[in-house]
Amino acid sequence: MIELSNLSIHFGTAVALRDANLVIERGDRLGVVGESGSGKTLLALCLMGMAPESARMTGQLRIDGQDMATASERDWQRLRSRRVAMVFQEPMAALNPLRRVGDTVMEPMVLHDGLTRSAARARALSLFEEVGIPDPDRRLRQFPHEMSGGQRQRVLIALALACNPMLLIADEPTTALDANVALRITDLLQRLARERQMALVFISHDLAAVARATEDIVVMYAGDMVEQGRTAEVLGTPAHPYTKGLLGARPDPGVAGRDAQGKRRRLPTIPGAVPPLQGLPQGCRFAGRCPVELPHCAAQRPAFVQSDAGRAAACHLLTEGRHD
Amino acid sequence: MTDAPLLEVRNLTRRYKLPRQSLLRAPPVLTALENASFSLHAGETLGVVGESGSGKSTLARLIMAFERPDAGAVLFRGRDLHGLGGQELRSLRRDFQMVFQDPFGSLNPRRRVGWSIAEPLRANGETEDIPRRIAEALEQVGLHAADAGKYPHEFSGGQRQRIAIARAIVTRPALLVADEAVSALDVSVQAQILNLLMDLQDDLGLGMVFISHDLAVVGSICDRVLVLQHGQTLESGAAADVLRSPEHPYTKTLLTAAGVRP
Amino acid sequence: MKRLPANFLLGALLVSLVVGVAALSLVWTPHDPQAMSISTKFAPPSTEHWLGTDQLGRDVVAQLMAAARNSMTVALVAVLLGGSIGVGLGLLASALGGWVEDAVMRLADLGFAFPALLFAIMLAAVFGPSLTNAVLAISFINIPIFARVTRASANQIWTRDYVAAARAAGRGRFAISRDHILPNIAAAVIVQATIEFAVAILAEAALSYLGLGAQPPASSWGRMLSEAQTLMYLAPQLAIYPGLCIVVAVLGFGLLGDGLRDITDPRLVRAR
Repeated sequence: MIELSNLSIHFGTAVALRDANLVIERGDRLGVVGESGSGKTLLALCLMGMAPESARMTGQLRIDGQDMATASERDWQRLRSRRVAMVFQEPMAALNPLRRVGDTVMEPMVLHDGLTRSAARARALSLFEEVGIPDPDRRLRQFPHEMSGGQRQRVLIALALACNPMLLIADEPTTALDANVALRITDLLQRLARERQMALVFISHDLAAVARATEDIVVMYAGDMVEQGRTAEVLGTPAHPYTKGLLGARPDPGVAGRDAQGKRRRLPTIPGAVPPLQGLPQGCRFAGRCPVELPHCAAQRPAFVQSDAGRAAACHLLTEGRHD
Repeated sequence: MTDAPLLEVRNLTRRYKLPRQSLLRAPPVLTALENASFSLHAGETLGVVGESGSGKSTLARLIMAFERPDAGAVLFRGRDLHGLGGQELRSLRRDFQMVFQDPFGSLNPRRRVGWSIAEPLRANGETEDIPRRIAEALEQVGLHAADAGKYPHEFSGGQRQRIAIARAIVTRPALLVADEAVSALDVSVQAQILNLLMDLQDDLGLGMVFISHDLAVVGSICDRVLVLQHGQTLESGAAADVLRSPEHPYTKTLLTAAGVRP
Repeated sequence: MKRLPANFLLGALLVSLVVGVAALSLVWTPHDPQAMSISTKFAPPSTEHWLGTDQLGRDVVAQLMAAARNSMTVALVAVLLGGSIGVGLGLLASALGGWVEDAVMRLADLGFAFPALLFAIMLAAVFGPSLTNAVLAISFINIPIFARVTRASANQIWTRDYVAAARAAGRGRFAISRDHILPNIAAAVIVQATIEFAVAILAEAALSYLGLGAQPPASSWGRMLSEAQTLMYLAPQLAIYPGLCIVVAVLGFGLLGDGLRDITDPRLVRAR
């Protein structure tokens, strides 16, 4: 349904997204995790045709068989909301404060699907119910500032679902929310994906949320996809050194506390920092920070190698048959 | 541990008057914090866990004496901070410092980093040897002395947070208040900064109040924990106990959200 | 150079032109602006007199240049004077808050409510018309404007974490205002000052037109306009030239201020 083949994004000479390969089918729940500069948000924007103007795209991006890598803005407008929709991070910033939320949600229906106002209103009502907004009739007429953060996020989700897209991209949907609200929103997204047979791409740096909401996961580092597989497996037994480092750096209260000498246990860290786009090695981009680096890692790019069914990682150690 | 607590917070309460809803009724009052109490000794870390509206930021501001409480007291080394006069309070400030959440907002963008780090020194009249002390502070947080001449925008988020920490420790304080100090950082950078804070605590014998919404982070670095919601203290105790067997349902929710199974 | 917005470039060009001419007039003008020669009055443009002469035989170009100088001087002094006082009051209001802030803002409201021209006329009635009084009147009008802009910007900076850090360090409000607030509101103040410069030029022209500003024999565009009014049918060009100068100067500073705002406003900086 959606297929990325060696999709790359260039900003001048810097490659912000390198050879992304991905297949997303209906009903898939895919998590995309990575830290700042990993390219995960850029990937999401590509799926919507909303990459920045200065970005140059190479490779293939097929949506329903149609290659969108070189598509015009008009082509994209036909797809947006109808086939692919996005839920953004900051609910308050993404909703026009001067419009009633009902009007905002109904707009794409009237525009894209050509519904009459009354038909749109009926659909908006049922959407509000579907996303769990109580008293939907009254809420439709409210302004964003009259709602809580969690409700605004639900409105954004309803807005994204307005024209029954086949892919819903959620970019950090839980970051600005309180814990119990975040849990409920995560569950809501899961349920919607299942009930509507819709694909869900859940982008987040919050590994706990991704673990709850997704079945498959792709880990990104500095524009490269470094590991892919079932969420439970990748998070449980990571193959790539970066994934291991990322998971290891998470504070784990189970292991923390003080050791025998009364000193507080330190967290395992990944040394150094992500280099700027221009300073990345030509080969494996994790070279220079990797604890098990081989001499040729920085120069030679590791291939994305399948280990078992569905699991893949880009690491020379795996290619050469040596396992950690 | 010395016997006298470094910091003692007794029944701290802070209320805010909200704008009037009607001319006839009294304006509504928001209780941002109610009856918060704890004590902290040198070398200890106390975690304060809460989300937006829990009162944790209010607690931070009261401890730092940026605001006056409506009831209760903040005792630093036995002295009531809010009972001190302006000059006395200012001279005491070198002994307790704060690290803020936003690495992009906590440094003056128009000043070189070295200038910002030395600000607490200048404020206290400790003007001898400033360049050496700046260099020392920078090296203690894992940066280079040469970085003092650069501007904040030349650094990454994690590096800026290190600079903010350098500024906080340059006067060798006894108490550090970290208000969501790692919340805006990537997980791998967060781990580095948490390790740095633990190192500094060991080196300087700091007492630390660590405020966060992430119970996992708090559990990994704190000895004791306070859980706040809507200004109320829901639960408090040793970090290991609270995380292993939480009593309040809200604490359990926080644990689930943080991906920790009790 | 391509990155700079068009309004900034155009404004800068016009401003350099006007200021350049004004500066030049300090050392050189084609003729003495005050030299009269009745025999050559109303002369058409020639190599001798590039734009001709006026009703008293004075060279028009020389007068325009001298007027430019006066205009720039008045605007500069008025904006600097009014601006410094206004910024000082605004910083004070923001730093102290409470009743001080309210008092300063109410005074500013009073200042706004008072028509500038009326104030100038009052001053002229009491102290006699002069360039100095025009400067004072225009300065006075600038005080509440700068006080308001400063207070609004300063209030935002006071909420920043680095100011809280400075308080935590033990710095007093005066030191914070000087070292943290002022540098970070400088952009907004400079933009406002540039725009007020344009306003001041217009104000000076208006006052001189009414006879309340530059007194003869000093040159002023406003006064030239007023004199040309009675000669509209004889020599309309004598009204057009000073009018054009006013337009160029005001437009130049206005565009420059607008351009500066575009450059310095972080919200208008496009991502990537």
